[in-house]
Amino acid sequence: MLEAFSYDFMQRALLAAVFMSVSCATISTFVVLRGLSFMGAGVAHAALGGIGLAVFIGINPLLGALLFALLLALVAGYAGRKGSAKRMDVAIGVFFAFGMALGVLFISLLEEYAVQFWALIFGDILAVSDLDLMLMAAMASIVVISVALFFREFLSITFDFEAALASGINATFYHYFMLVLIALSVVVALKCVGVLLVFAMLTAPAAAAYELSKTVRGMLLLSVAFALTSSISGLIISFYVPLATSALIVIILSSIFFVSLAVPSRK
Amino acid sequence: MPATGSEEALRLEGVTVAYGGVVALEDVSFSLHKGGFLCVAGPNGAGKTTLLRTILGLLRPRSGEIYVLGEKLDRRNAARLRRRMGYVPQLDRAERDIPVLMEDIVLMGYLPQLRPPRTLRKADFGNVLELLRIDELKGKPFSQLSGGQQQRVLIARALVGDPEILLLDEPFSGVDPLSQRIILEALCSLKENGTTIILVTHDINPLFRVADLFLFLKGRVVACGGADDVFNEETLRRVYGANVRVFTTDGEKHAAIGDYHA
Repeated sequence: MLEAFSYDFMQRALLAAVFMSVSCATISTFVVLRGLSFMGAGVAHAALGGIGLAVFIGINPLLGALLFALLLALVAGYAGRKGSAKRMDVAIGVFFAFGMALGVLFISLLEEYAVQFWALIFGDILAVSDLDLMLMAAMASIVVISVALFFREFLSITFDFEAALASGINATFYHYFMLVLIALSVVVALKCVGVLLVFAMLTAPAAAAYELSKTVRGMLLLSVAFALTSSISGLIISFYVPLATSALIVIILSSIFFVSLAVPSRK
Repeated sequence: MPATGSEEALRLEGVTVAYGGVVALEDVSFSLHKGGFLCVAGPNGAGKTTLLRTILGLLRPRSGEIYVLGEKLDRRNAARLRRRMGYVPQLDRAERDIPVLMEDIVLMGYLPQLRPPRTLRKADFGNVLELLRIDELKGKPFSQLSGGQQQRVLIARALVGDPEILLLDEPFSGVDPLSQRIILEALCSLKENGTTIILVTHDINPLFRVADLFLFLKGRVVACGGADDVFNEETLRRVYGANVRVFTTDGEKHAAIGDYHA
């Protein structure tokens, strides 16, 4: 198994898998508890428009994805600033389609760069560059440090948004902040599992952990453990067997979720 | 309507609140002295919860003025004044399926006072857990508690920040008789220690001897005064528009309204 990580590309892929797992699984706890699953799908698809724009103007596609992901977070945040997930879903749906349409438009304009698009649509963890890794490390650090510092605020707005607001907490700020962290996590995962599969990274780890945890803190740790297990094992399997890494990661993660449903609840 | 004491905790002057074009509260005026106990009652849709949200600064009135603890409430001081108030929303507003321990919910009440990094010690609970008799529930998931126990935990959350005004929205709804009694005793104890209490309820009967002031709402103020002034069939009929009977047992007044007790 260690032989696999003697290669430079596998070492980079391992680091990318760790950054993705930790950031996505950390924030997925709140995605699941607040019912924001659609936000993950929306951000990922909207990011495609940003990827197209970035390729068009010749900058790192992750920067374009980041721009559109943050834009969606702010639009969705505004729609749901009073804590309503339903109102957010409508805004996300519109932006989802807008970003996707822009992405398709750029793909048709830039056919010679299509390979860059496909790498981000289906993910290509084995081809992460040093710049990608640095961006992923920075974004993942922001997500993890922010959740560690503001865990109780996030928990408070998740439990009862209005009561949090009424108690004097700046609940609206933390609402936006959480959405920005979801957007960052999606961008971290894009290079690893792609636009189409990133949704699984934002929901499955915490959904599986939810079935087995008595506390939100326990749920968060278990969620990270599930994401790390699936991403690293998917990476190792794909080294020995010629199968798509992103698909393996998501299949393993989804399987963990299905098994968790069958395990008697500890709550 | 005058305050019944020297120092005012709260005063509303001609407050009108609307959602879009629909007026939920119209021309509401009253005042409450510090340490007073106000019971707000009225039928569904009377604007009771809207009144609490407006006092908290979560809704801005279309017209009128609100004074909280001597300060005129506006956009700039609303968050600061909210930190001097405790709010217990209706129990069903909370996400009760979240896997969170009872004490973690109570500790949420400290958040406005402490910025990260912070260390919360269990000792910081003070006597709030004992007051509401939930100290033995430590370590239990909130979702496993009964409705009455959950309500007491939410009240404890509002109390750990030591509020000067406590606002409660239907605290007896879905609550067993034991929890109702514990909550009432806790409120009486708080009142004795000078906390101002504003309680919204459908069931005014348990508050007959406890509240100083009753405010009956039906979009606007129908009646406001002490129990002896407003606890009568004529007033209650104007509020609820239903068959109302007020009867006395063991020296205590009770109201029966329609199919249920008011």
